[in-house]
Amino acid sequence: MAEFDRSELLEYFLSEAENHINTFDRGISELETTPVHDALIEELFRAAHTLKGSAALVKLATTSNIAHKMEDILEKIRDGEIKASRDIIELLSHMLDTIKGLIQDIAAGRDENAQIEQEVFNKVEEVLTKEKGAPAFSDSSIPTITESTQTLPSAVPEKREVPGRRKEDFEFFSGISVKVDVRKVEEMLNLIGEITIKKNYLLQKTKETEEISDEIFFAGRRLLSEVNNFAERYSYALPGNVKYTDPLLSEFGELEFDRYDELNLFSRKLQEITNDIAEALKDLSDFFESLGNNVKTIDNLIKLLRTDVSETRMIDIGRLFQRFIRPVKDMAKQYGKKIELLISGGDTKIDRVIFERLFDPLIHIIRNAISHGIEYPDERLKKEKKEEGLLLLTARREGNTVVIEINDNGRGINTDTLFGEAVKKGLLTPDKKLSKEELLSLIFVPGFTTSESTDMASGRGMGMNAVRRLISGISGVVEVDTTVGLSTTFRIKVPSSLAIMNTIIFNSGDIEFVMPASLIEQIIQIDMTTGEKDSDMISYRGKDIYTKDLSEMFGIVSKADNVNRPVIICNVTDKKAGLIVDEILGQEETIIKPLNRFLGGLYIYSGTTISGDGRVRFVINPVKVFEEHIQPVAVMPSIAEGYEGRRILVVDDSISVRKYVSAFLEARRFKVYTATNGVEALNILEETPVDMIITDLEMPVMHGYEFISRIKGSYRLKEIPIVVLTSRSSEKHKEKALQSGAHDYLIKPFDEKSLTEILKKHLYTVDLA
Amino acid sequence: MNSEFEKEPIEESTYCVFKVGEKEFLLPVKLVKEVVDASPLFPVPLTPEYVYGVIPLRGRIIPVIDLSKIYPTGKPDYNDAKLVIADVELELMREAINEHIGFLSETLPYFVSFSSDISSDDIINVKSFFETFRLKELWYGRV
Repeated sequence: MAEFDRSELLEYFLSEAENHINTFDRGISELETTPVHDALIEELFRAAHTLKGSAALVKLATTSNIAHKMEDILEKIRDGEIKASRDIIELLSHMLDTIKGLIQDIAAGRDENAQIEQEVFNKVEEVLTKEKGAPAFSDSSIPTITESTQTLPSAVPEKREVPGRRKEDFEFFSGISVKVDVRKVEEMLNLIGEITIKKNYLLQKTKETEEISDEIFFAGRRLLSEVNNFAERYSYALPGNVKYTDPLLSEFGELEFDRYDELNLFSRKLQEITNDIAEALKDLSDFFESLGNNVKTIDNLIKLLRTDVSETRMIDIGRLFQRFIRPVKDMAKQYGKKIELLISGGDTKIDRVIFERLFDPLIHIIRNAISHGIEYPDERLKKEKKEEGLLLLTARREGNTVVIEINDNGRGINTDTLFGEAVKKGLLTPDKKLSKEELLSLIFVPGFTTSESTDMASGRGMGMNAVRRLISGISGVVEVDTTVGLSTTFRIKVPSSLAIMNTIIFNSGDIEFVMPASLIEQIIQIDMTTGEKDSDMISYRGKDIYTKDLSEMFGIVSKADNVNRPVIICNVTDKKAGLIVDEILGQEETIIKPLNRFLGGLYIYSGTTISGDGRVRFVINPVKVFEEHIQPVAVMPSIAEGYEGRRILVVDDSISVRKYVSAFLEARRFKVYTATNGVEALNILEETPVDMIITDLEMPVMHGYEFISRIKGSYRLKEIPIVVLTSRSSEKHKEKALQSGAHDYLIKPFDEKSLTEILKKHLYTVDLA
Repeated sequence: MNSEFEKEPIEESTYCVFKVGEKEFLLPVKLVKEVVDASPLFPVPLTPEYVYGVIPLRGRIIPVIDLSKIYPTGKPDYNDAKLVIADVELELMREAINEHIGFLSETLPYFVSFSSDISSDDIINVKSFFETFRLKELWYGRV
């Protein structure tokens, strides 16, 4: 179905096959050395299955058939029909060798040797018959006759350049490239990041020393000129130059002239030393200059290195497109449509991290195109279109971004329908006039759909909203364009590399953040004191746009003076929105690292950066910030072990009650704190956060009612559930306690069941909403 | 199965012991990547309180966990805190991936060895800890 250049496809196949063969090589040697385990068989089974499928795709029937046979054998092993005896392992190994031989032929541009297939199948038949005859409990520890394997027809290896050396087989296609663990590349990038930080420090320091050296140089010159001045003045006063107006003066003794001489000498010396210093300073400043130049060269080299290393993470996007061939075929069948898939620009390189995260959004768009976009064959014929719908996947590079387009020549998106739906949903008023772009962007609004029925695949789960979110997570944007009745194009723009990006740095309170410059349209200033900022809307280029104050959202105390605040206008795909920050600090070319997976759920950040001086800055994802009008709240995951770790404070003046309740709770893995009265209890609460308080009413020093009202009066503590445990059974007391803020009332002596009930009620289902 | 078990010699395992509040936690030493000074730490807005912040280390950005906000340890004193960096191996898209997380410790951790058949509740299973406490999709409330 897919019009794919076969040689291109073959290339992908070969690199894929290499992977599977390596899995097999490893797996088979593992089978030989370790007891058979399900996971391994499953892995091999999958490898065989995939190999079979992709070989069939590039029309390598023999390879596919042999892989199929391997799959069968592995399935039998998995289902316990046969044991992975030595014979079977040898057989698998032989089959693998055959496949290697076949693939080597293909890589060398020859055709498959189809005769081998029968030989292999005979062999399989032979071994399997023998296996079935063998006692069922035979296992790999029983030595089996290996004669048969030794006499295996050397059908395949005859084409091998170096027969018998299996090591060579690994390297069949790639003489000039090596495989590197991605983690190794990541590690290298991390180290380059570290070097960059150190280099920036050095750069900073050389600049400082340059200033110091300039200062010294200047001081040296001043000294020199002072000394020169002095010497001049003094030499002016030298005996030879002095005119004696008074003849008496000529009678000054020789001694005094000696002093003049000494001063003269001293000034000469000073002059010389200063000259020496100036000379040395010049050398020193030359040194600093060359040091500075060298550091700058290092700077450039590091940049080159960084680019080179990050390029090793780049993958041809064609490998991603290839993964869609099968699903497109299946989906076309599922929806009863005829579809031709065309792919171009498969050699566009893209960062591995982005590569991985593009599959989900792309498959969703493709699914939409097939189910909603492209019409049924008869419908198409009626419209005088070709019966086969056309789905076009293209990729190209534009500067630092990769543009991926998914185009279908189906019915297009009717903006009138969108408008109608939006009015129905109350998103728009009927009199509102919107441009085509604005209307089209409605499809990205969460929960917005125009399709009447939700079908199996596309109407369920992920909407276009999710597509947009996934793409924004890799700092990309998605746009849509359509001609009703003719075509729809989704255009995804993602950075070609997530590694290095130009970012804008800003802060909120003391915390610094960055945002990729590619997502920013403009930065403006607004006056927060005027009426302009009464609502969340501000006017930008004649349109009202929604804004959010970062500090407010994060609960950070803003340090801004609240008069002029910068607003970062970002493209949030369906609209523009403004992020109000405290201060814009500058911009920086920087490495963006994916979020540590422990923090992976914080979609509001799309990554992290480390600044030149070693500070961590989180990358703000504006799409997530402005997704609906929502306020994110962090939530503590419920602790798997139920009560474990929950803290309860028991307040009672009776030691036996305290002991009894503590023992009961500790047996249920609670951490228990005890106090004999309200004051003691409040002291504990000062230091220890607890999840629940169980208190008596009558106690010395501070009784229960007062204790409860103190807690209710504290902003920090008022949410803690309080259970009153008392011997006062009258309704009057119960009512009073509940009125003062207690959540539950338990009468002594209590039974364990009712306490358990109360614990469950207040702790187990901590209502996070 | 039983016979296999008996053959296996009881091995000594070494643990890294670190202190939080009144409690000591143990980590298998082979999972401890390194121990560093817990500074400089950077806060992360919108995280639950057990995420104390992050620390940059050799180009990685590592979340710093305050166990006192998860387990009943009593009030910790992190004035001169150390950070125990643990290595977690995860599986993502059928590929093994290593991630690091750091646990705050009040004092410099020390190491003990005891036979591996002794089990203690205070040994942290890093992998399941990571799975349980890693931040999943944020809960969003409407304003």
